[in-house]
Amino acid sequence: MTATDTPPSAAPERRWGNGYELTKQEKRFIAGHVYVAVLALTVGSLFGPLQSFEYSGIDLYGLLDPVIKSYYQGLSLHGVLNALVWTTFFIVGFTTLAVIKGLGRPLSHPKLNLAGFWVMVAGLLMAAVPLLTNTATVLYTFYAPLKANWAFYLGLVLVVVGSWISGWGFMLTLAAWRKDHPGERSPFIAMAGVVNAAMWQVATLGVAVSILTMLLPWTLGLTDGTDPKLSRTYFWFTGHPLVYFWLLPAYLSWYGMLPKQAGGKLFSDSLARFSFWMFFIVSVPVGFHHQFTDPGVPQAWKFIHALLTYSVFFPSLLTAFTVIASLEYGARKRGGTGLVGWIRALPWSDPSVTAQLLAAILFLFGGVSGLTNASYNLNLVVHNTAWVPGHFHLTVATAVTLSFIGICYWMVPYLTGKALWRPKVALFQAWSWFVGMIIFSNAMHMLGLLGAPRRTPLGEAPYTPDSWDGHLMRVSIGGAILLVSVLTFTTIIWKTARGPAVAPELVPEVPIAESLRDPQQTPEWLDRFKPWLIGAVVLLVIAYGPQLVDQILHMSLNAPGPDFTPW
Amino acid sequence: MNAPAPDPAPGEADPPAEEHFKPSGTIFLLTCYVAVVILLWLSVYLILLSRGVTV
Repeated sequence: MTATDTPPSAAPERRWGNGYELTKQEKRFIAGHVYVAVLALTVGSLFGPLQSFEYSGIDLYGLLDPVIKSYYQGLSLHGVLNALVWTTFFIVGFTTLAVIKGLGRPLSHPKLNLAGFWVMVAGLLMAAVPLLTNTATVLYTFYAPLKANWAFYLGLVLVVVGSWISGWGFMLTLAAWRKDHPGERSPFIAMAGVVNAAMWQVATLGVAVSILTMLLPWTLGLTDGTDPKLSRTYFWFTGHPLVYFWLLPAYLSWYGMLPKQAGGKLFSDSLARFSFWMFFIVSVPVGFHHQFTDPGVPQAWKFIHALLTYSVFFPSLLTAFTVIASLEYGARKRGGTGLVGWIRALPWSDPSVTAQLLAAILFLFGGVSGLTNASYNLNLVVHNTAWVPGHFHLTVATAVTLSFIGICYWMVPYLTGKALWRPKVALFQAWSWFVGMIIFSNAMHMLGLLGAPRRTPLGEAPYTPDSWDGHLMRVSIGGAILLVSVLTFTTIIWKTARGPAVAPELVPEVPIAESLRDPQQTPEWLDRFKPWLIGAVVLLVIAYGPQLVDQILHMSLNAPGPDFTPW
Repeated sequence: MNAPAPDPAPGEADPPAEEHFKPSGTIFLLTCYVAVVILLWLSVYLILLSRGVTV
C-alpha cells in the first residue's frame, strides 16, 4: 500500500468533473480502506443471522464451538466488526476520495493519511485477538463494569487515533486549498467530509478519556476498580455522535452525489451546508438520552439532553427536504410528472441509486423510532428492549450500510477500472436487503413494545409468552434474507475487483452533483469553521460540563468487574 | 406542476426558471411524513398511558 506520494499524473487517464483524475496510487490507497471495510462487514454479518436464528430456537452457536464460544461472543463480534470497523474504514476511505476529488488536488500530507490507515489496521488486528479468544466479550457498547482484555481497549484506541490522523490530513488539505482559493466557497463534498472528520475528533474525546484514564488502568491492574456511571457517561458522550459519524458520509452522498446519479442537481448548497453545521453543533451534547434510566444522573440534565436530541430532528428534516427536492428535480428532468408520480422516473435500474433510495426510505422510519427513544417519557416503554436494535438496524444497518453498499457499486468499479459484476444481481441485493430489513426490524420493534429485552438469547429464555412467537420467527426470517443479501454483496465486490479491466469509457465517474444555484452565492458564514467550532464547544460545556465535573469529582472506583466470565 | 426546463446547451448558463423550481411533490411527501411521525409517536404514548403512566 502506498499513499499519494506521487504527484498527479502529467497525462491524466481521463478528465471530467472538476478536471482532476486520481492517480493509481490514490485509487489503491482508497480501495485498501474499502476492502478492509467489506471484509469486516462480511465476517461481522455472519454472526447476525446466528443471533436472529437463536430467537426462534435454532441455536447454531454450538456448531462453532470451540472457535466461537457463546451467543455473546458472536454478538460482540457482530457489533464491533459491523458498527465500528466496517463503518470507520469505509468512511475514512470514502472521505479521502471526496476530499481529493472535491478539491481537485492530491492530499497535502499523504504520508500522514498513510500513517492513519496503518494505525487503524494495527488497532483492528490488536482488538481482533481478544475478540476471537473470547476475552473481549463486552459487546460493542464496551462500557464498564464488563471487562475486556487490555489489548481490546488499546486496539480501539489505535483505530480511533488512526481515524484522527487521517482527519488531520483532510483538514490540512482543505486548508491548503483555501490558501490557494481565497474568497471561493469550498466544494461541498470536500467540506462535508472535513466537517464530519472534525465532529469525530470532538466526539471521540469521551471514549479516549474513558479508555486511557479508566478502562486501561483497570484492566492492567493499576487500579482496583472502576466507576460504571462515569464510564457510561464517557461512552455515550461518544456513542450518540458516533451515529452521525456514520450518517454524515451517507448524507454527503445523498446531497452531493445521488442527485447527479438521478439526473438532477443539488437543490440548495446553502441548506446542505447549514444542515452539516447543525449536525456538527448538536450531535455531541445529547448522550444522556441513552442514560434516561441511569441512577445518579439528575433528571434536569436528562431533560436538557432530551431537548437537544430533539433539536437534531431539525437538520434531519432539512436533509429530507433538500435531498428529496434534489431527486424530484432530477426525476422531472427525466420526464417524471404528478405529485408523487415523478418517483417512478428515478433511475431504479441503477443498483447504486436504488440501494441509496431504499436506504433513505427505511431511514424515515428509523427517524420515527429514534424520536420515541429520545422522548423522556416514551423511552421508558422501549428502554433496553428489542425496539432499540430494531431502531439502529434501520439507521446504521440500513441508512448507513445500504447507502455505503450503493456507493460501492460505483466506487469499486471506479477505483479498480473494472465493470460492476452483474448489475441485476446488485439490484437484487439492494431489494433483498430492503425486504429483509423490513421484516427483521418491524418484528424487533414489535417485540420491544411487548417488553422483549435486548442483548438476550430469547430462544433459551423460559419466560417468552406465546404472543412473541410470530415476531421471533419473523426476526429469524429477516436475518436469513439479510444473510443472503450481504453474501451477495460480498460476491459482487469480489467478482468486480477480480474481473478484467474494461475500457475507460465503461468505468463509472465519480458522481459530483452541481448545485442548482452557483455555490458562490452561498453565504460566507456557511463556509467558515471558526464560528461553528466555538458554538459546538460552548454548547458542549453548557450541556456536559457541570455533570462531567460533578461525576469526576465524585468518582468511585469501587466496581471491580466480574471475576468470572458469565458466557 | 413545475417541470424544470430542459438542459441548456453546453457552456450556456442555466435559465433562471431552474432557480425557481418549486418542489411540490417533496412538500407533499414531507407533510405526509410528519403526519406519520405524529401518529406513530402518539401510538407509543397511548401504550405508555395504558401501562399506568409509571412504566
